[in-house]
Formats: sequence, structure tokens, C-alpha cells
Amino acid sequence: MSLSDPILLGPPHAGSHPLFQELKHVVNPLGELLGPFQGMEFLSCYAHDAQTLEQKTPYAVFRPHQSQSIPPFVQICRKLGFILTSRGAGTGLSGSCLPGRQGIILLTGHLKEVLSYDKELGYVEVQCGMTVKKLNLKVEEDHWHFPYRMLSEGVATLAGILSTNARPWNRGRIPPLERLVTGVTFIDEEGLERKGRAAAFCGKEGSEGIITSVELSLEPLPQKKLSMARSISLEDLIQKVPCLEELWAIKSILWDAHNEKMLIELEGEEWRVLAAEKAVDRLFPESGDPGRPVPPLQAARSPSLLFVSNLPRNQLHKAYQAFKTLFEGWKDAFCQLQIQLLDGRMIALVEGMNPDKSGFLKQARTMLESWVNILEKYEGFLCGTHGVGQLFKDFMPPFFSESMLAYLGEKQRIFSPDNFLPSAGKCVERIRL
Amino acid sequence: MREERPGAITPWKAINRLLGHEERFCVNEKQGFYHLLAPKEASRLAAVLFALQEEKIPYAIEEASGCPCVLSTRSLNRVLAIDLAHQSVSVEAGCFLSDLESKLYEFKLETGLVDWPWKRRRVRLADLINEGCLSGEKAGMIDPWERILEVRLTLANGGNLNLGGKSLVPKPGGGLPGPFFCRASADFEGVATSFRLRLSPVPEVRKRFCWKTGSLKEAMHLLESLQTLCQSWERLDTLQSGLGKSYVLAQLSGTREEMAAFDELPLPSGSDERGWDLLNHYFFSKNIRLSCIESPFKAVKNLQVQEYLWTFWTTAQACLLEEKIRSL
Repeated sequence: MSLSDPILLGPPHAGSHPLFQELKHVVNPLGELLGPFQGMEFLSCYAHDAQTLEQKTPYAVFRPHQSQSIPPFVQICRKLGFILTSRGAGTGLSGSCLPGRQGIILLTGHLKEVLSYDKELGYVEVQCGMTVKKLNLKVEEDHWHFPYRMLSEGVATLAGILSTNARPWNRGRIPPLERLVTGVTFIDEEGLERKGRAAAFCGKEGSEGIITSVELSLEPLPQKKLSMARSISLEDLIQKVPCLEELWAIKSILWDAHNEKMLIELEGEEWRVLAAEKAVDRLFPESGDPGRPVPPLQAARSPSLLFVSNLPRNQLHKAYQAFKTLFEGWKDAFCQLQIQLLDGRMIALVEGMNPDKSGFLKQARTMLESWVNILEKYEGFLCGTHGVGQLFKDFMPPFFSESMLAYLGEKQRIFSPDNFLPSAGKCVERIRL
Repeated sequence: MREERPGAITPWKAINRLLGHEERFCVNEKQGFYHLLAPKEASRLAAVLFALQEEKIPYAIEEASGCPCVLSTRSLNRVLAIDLAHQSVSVEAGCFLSDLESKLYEFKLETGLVDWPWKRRRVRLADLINEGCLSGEKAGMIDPWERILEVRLTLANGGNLNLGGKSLVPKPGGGLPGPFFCRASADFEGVATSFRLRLSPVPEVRKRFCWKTGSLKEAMHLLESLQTLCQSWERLDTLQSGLGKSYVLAQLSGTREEMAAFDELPLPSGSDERGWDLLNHYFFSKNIRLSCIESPFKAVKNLQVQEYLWTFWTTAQACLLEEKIRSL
């Protein structure tokens, strides 16, 4: 009997399926298996990530007692034909940790141990579920830190950040994850533990294996941090960015469309920060009270959609005008926009005014289709804030050449011919499979 | 002794038809004899790769390694386009880094990649990138790997593949994402024929320091004090010789204002800016064999008299250099 057997019609019937009974019996000593037999309410908690537009209920959820329980569990799932998706904290906003068809969710967010720490050189190996906040609390006393300061830093796991290539909203100048994460230990689809380079896992949304631990190279803790806010139009700011860019202490130049205000974040050695502060003051003389600081984009209503577009700096203003015109047409939604000038990221948050999710999703897709055309015109690029995920996969092809998609698809086919680990169609590499 | 002769007639008719006489060489080395194929156009390189596959001719890329036929990108050496608006350059893989940097300097731009002193300023981009950008400096605080926006690969079946977005800006998070390009792609699946690299403006001021110390212990102590003093070194290297002498090399850049503030810091005395040039000159005159190593700490313990250990602390990488007697 296999999972394609017609007896297995969907999650409500799955609990009684002999394969599930067998799975439950075999994995009992390894961890907790929670499935339809415990109630669908529990499973529905894992049907989505922080973004609730895309939902898919898993057949079961497995929480291993320890990381050593993962390899035998992978082997059992493979033998029985269940597709596996690992999930950290589920803070993604693009549906990257949604289960595959006939899929089981493997929870790893509770594995938070520090495995080794070299306080002299700033190298640390931690389990996959470690959060940025918890890690920084531990290493900051030794003057180290992991510089990915995010809104979800207390919850989001390091393995999740790596898998989705997530980026802090308020940082334009930051070392790439491939450099900060020096190594990865993962379980491959055969259930064997292996070591790999971070680059092979960055943005792959779990399709290359289940990450169990990550080795990190920490950054020295900055001596001084400073924020400066000024009221300015986007057009004027764009003209002055080349001068600001030369100042290394500047880590972020964020422009908020709602307040027409910019927020400059400075950090580093004291002498650099103070020199940069003087230069900023000279370029943008303070004109009285700067008012409220630039707030982070956070959804207050549901449904909502957060997406990022990257644009060349010389096209940012035109693209912003086009964005305004396009989203003015969406009557029952409220849109906020922030632009990170250092790397040309345009971060947009659209919130629905009424709770109808399907109507909102339909409208969002129509808008995104038009926005993709605009981005193509202005040489831009679209993606989710945390990876491509289920939500943005359909909008990716225009940004990649046919040959590149075919090549990536072929690589994926070689790596995982029977589609065991990845959930089909999540990351870019899976589009054509 | 290495002898290279152009216009060689290879034993493979298809190759002789495809390539002109300036693209076919026979090379006689100590290790043996082989034919070197260096097409001047990427399209011709694709055709040659296809022919080599069809005819089942064993071949190696760039290095002989016992193969009768070696394919090289050294004749693909043009700077294709400098895009000032997007601060990027498209350049063929065989271009010398020094030639590219000279051209870019006219526009006050730089790649942030650095030539090895022992390569006598004749390092090609393909070698540098395939070797892992070890010597890249963090100009504008951009990591060397983030500088590669796009790679054009010619696949073993003769097809072409652009690794990188179609758009002119990189994916959020930097340049060409790691999974899309790794050394394995270039080695086993095709040949990188051109790159698009992100550029940075040449900083207003760039300072270099070189301290000579009598022992490794002193060098490490100095290194620690430099790391405490400043966190944004572009380069912070140590060079240890098997004879016990050690050097600490540091490089920093910024605006005039920033550097004026830096000058106020209590920097350890005894640095000599000319030290970099002297070391470069020293390595220039030696025949050096290089091996990249994973753990510099193990190498320090076993360092031989004729060996040097160059450690790049900003990129946490190191390489072992072995001085060889120059063959006459």
C-alpha cells in the first residue's frame, strides 16, 4: 500500500491509514508525532507561516526529541513515501515552510543548543533552531554579534534565515549570509548526516537537505550606533546617495513614502560614526523637529502581503511613481512603502481593508502581474522578503532566462529525483519541475 | 623549461577546422607534451567544446593535468562594457585583472579584487574567481563574492548559460547567489567565458601599513591591538616566514573626513607604508608555489624554513607559499 492509494483521500482520513499507524508506531521513541488523530485544529497551526494567504494542511507534524532523531526519521519517511518539509519558527512571509503534497512537517525550532564557541576568534556552532536574539545575548558579552537584526529576531531560526535568504529590512549594507555562515551540517534525503557549504543552502528553502546545525563567523560588536532622521523627498535623496555611500559607517538609508522621511542608521567605530554624522549634518542640515522616527513595516490588519522589489538606483523614482499609480487603483487596500537606498530595495506592505482572504489574494495576484511588467521595464527584480515561497513562485520566470531555469531544474532533478525533500514549486529552482 | 609554439596542427581534424592558427598551440613542458586550444571568441569555444565531446577527446580546462588537449580562456581577454549607470563591468574571463583595473581607474572605479604579488600582476579573472577570490579586498565593504553579478558559462554540450538575473540589479542579498555559481559549475559543467562584476568608486583616501616583528607572538599581539582599534580594515593580513620573521599588513580606506579622524587614533608605532611594495617586490622575484589551506593554525606549527604563511584575517582564509629555486 502506498500513499497514492485511493483510501487516503486527505488529512481527515489520514489518521486511520495503515501507513500512518505504522509511522506512528516506528517513530514513537524518536519524538512526538502529531497528526489527525490528535485533532485537525493542531495541524491547522502548521498550515501556513506568518503569511496566511497560502495555506496547506500537513498530514502530520513531527517534533524530534533531539537532533540525532532526525536521520532515522528521514529514513523512515523515505521508506514509507512521505514528503518532508522542515520548519523553524514559521516566521516567513512567502509560504516557504508549507508542506508538500502528502507531506509531513519536521519541527526544528526547539533545537537551540550552542554546540561549540570560540570566543577568541568569534566562531560558533549552533543547532538549527537558534535565534539571532538568543545567540547575540550569549556572545555580546565577548564583543561579538550576528549582525542580522530583524523584527522577528527573537523567534526566527538561523536555519530558516539561511534557507530563505532573509534580510533585515533596515540594513542595506550587511555581510552576505554565505560569509557569515561558514558551514552547515545537514541530513540528506538518504538520512545521512553531511557537512556542506552555506552557499549551497542559501535561499534553497530546504530543498537540499534538512539543516541540523550551522557554523557562524561572528562580527565584532560595533562601538557606536546612531540613527538620524530627516524629512526629504525621494528625488532629492537619490541625488545625494552617492555622497552618503562613501561613508562606511552608514548601514542603512531608508526612505518612508508615507512620511516622506529618511532614516539613516550609522554604526561602527566611534571615530567613523562621528565623522559620518558630521558629513550627514553638512549634507542634510536639520530643519527643526524631525517628528516621529521611521516605523518598521508591520502588518496591523489581515489579510496582508509584503513583497520586495530590487531596482537600479536611477530607476527608483520612476518605479515609485508607477507603483503609486498602480496601487491607487486598489480601493479596498492600504499600502505602505519604504525604500532602502543603499541596495535599491523597495519594500511594500499591502493590507486588506476587509477580511475576505480569497478576494484579496485574487486582487494581489492581478496587481503583482502588472507590477512584474513594470519591474521588467525598469530593469528590476521581484521577490518575497523571506525567499520566493509558494506565494511568489509564479512571478519569477520573467526574471530568469529559459536556459537558466532549465539548468536549475536539471540540477534539482539530479539532486532529488523523487522529490522527497523539497516541496515542489517553492523556490526558483523548482519552477519547471 | 616550457616551450610554446603557435599554429600547431592538432591530431583532430574538427579542431583544426574550427580554430585559426593563432588559436592552436603545442606546448612542451617538463611534465609532457600537449595541445593548447585558446579560442578568441566565446562562440568558437562553445563549438570546440561540442567537438571535443562529439569526438570523445579527453581534455582539461586551463591546466594540463596529463591530458593531451587543454582548453584555455586566455585569448578571451576583452573588457566588453563598462556600465557607469549601474556601476558594473562585463569582462571576458581571460582578461588580466591589472589591465581591467587600469581601464576602470580612468572612471575612478575598482573591482575590489586584488592581484597576488607572486603572480607578477598577470593573474586572469577566471583564475582569480575559480581560486575563490582569496585576495579580494573589501572595497566599499562589499564582499568579493558579492561582486560577481553574472557568469556566462559555456556548457560541455556547447550551449551557453547565463548564471544570474536577467535584470541589471542583483537579487536582494547581494550578487550572484552562491548556489547559482560555485567552482563545481565551472569545473564540471562548463567553462566560464565572461563575468559581470559590480564596481565600487575608488575611495578618497586609502592607507596602508606594514609592521615587521621578530616573532609570531609579537605579530599576533599587534594584530589583536589593531583589531581592537579599528573594525573596518579592508585588509588585515599576517605574513609569517619559516625563519621566524613576521609581518602585519593593514589597509584601510574612507573619505577625507573619516581618515582625518582615524589619524587621531593611537596607532602602534613603527609601521612602514613601503613594506607592502618591498614584500611585493620580494615575491615578484621568487618562484612561488601556492597552496590554499583550511586551518592556518596547524600550518603555523609546522612552518618550514622555505615557507611563508599568508593569512587574510578579514576573510578568514590563508595560503601557504613555498619558495622554489627559480629554474633557469
